[in-house]
Amino acid sequence: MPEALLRLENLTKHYTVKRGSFATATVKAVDGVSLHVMPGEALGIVGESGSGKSTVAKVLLRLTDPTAGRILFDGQDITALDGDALRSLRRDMQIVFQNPHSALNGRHTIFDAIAEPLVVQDGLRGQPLIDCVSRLMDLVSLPRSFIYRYPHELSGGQKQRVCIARAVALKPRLLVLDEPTSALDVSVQAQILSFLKELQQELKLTYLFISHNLAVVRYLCDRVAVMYLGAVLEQGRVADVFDQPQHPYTQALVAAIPKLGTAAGHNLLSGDIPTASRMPSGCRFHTRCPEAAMPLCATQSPDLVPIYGDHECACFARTLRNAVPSA
Amino acid sequence: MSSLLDIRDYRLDFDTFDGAYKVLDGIDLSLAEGETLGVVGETGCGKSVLAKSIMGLLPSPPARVLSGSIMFEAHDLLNATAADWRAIRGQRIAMIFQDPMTFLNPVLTIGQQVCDVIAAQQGSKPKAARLDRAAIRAHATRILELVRLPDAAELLNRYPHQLSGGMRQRVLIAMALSGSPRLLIADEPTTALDVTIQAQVLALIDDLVQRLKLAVIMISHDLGAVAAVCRRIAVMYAGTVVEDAPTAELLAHPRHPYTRGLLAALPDIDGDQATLVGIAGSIPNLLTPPQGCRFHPRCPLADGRCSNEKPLLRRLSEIHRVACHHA
Repeated sequence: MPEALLRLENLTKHYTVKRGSFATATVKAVDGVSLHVMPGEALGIVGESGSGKSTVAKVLLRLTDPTAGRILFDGQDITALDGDALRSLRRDMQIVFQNPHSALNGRHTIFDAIAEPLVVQDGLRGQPLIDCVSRLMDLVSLPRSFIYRYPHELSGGQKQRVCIARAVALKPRLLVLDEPTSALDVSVQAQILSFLKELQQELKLTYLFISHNLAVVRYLCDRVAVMYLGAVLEQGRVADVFDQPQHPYTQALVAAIPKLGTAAGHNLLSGDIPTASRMPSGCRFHTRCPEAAMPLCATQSPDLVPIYGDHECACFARTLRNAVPSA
Repeated sequence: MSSLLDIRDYRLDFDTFDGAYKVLDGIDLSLAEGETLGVVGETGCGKSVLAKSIMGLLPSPPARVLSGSIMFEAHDLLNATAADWRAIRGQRIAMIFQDPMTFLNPVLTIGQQVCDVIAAQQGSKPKAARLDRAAIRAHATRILELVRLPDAAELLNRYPHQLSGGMRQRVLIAMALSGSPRLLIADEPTTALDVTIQAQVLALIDDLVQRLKLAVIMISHDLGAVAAVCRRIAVMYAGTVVEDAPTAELLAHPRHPYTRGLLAALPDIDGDQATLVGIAGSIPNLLTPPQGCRFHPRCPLADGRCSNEKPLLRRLSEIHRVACHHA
């Protein structure tokens, strides 16, 4: 088996927050996540807001330090990297954020925005820098005449292309995309998604794609991990997970999508996602689970169990059903 | 069916230092009693401006009405006085907005805010019909129960930050319904919500339409969400209605190239899609909108006629209207 480009082992990120003058509470934003991304693959992470998707991205990029667990990039343990070693790692992993309107500095031209990583990391100046920025603008199909414009002169889709150009400027191997299209119109989203797909082939990129839109993940990704309250509940190939969702939560997510030509999306879930500071005991999903939960669900937390191939699911009821085939 | 709302040849400009933005260009729409109409289109095509026109929320200047009329029941909304508006807003027409986080005052309890809305409506009633404080509070509890919020009486004492996004949107819907309006305008009611919460809110709106025989105009750029609730859809582009048909008809036989583009841009959760087609280009600058059909610079079917002659919204059948020379 080839080596994974990125491997997360039992990654955990807890935040301590104040509750009143003396008391504190622990917010378990990410609570024991293990994932891997193969070279050239696109892995999607889906889940509701508050499920810890973006925290996973921040931790694996070392923008914030994990509480526990290991991050392996290309076989190398980067969990405790710092100084120059960390700085040179930044070449290999980059991120595109959700809102292109706030990710660009309004007082910097498009040239400044795209040139910054090249100046910081490669020390490029003068004509070579201008050439390099122009080539990147060609790559993301932005007209070269935009080079000295300011962000406010660009549309949302164009700004997102600038952010992508900036992220791929140093030829990273892993690109983390944190909800890159959720601030955009559907027509623009379609442009950006098909562009991202081409770009992945052209630059042989590996994607970690975070989204709450399952249809977008289905379009762009090879595999998907479903997160809920800081843990992965189900993962596998997109076709397997979305066509035959095993976990009750994934089933509810798939059913909630409004589909054209049918009635309103079914709502299988009641209530909202609990807060990560007051985590339910046992299976973290049991408070909203539409299936009759077993007593076990309230006391013990289920692990990811393989179902078929690399399709895994963390649910006691599901494991039991698979172990005892119904007659 | 008698028509509840009737918009005829409505033209609106925004006067700015750069000149007049031709924001709405001859809108023709009508809505029957109890009908649900979805208005879809990209950002900047005038959906929200149309909604605010119906609610009389556009400040003038910069807004300037060039022609047309908006009739609601027996009221001429374009010539309504401040006293007329007080009787219409909240009691005949009500509106809910996109982001439930920003429309509640964080330092007042839910009860104070809901009761304020109800108290404000008492002014336009005859003295004998006015509610006293206890009756207002009882009414507040009743409308929170109407939107299926649990422990309504308890909820009145809570602050907005103690509620989740979905609950806040329910509170806003309850406030909108407190004066038993005949028309509810929902401007992107679920855009800021997660897909599972979106399914809950859409199901609630659908339920209210059935129970209260409410007419709804739902504005969204998400065709899926609109199709789930609305029986008719009007597609807007750059300040014009380009297509108007019952939902099933529009989805099965879209006739305008823009509608087809929007449908092709939607990623699908079922099955694999090889390509996702966006609509090339972006929405035109309304300071100098294109001559002829406003969509022609982005249209795959455009020819000489399209760049000279503005297509009128004409009837293809009893129920289907489209504004395109080629449909």
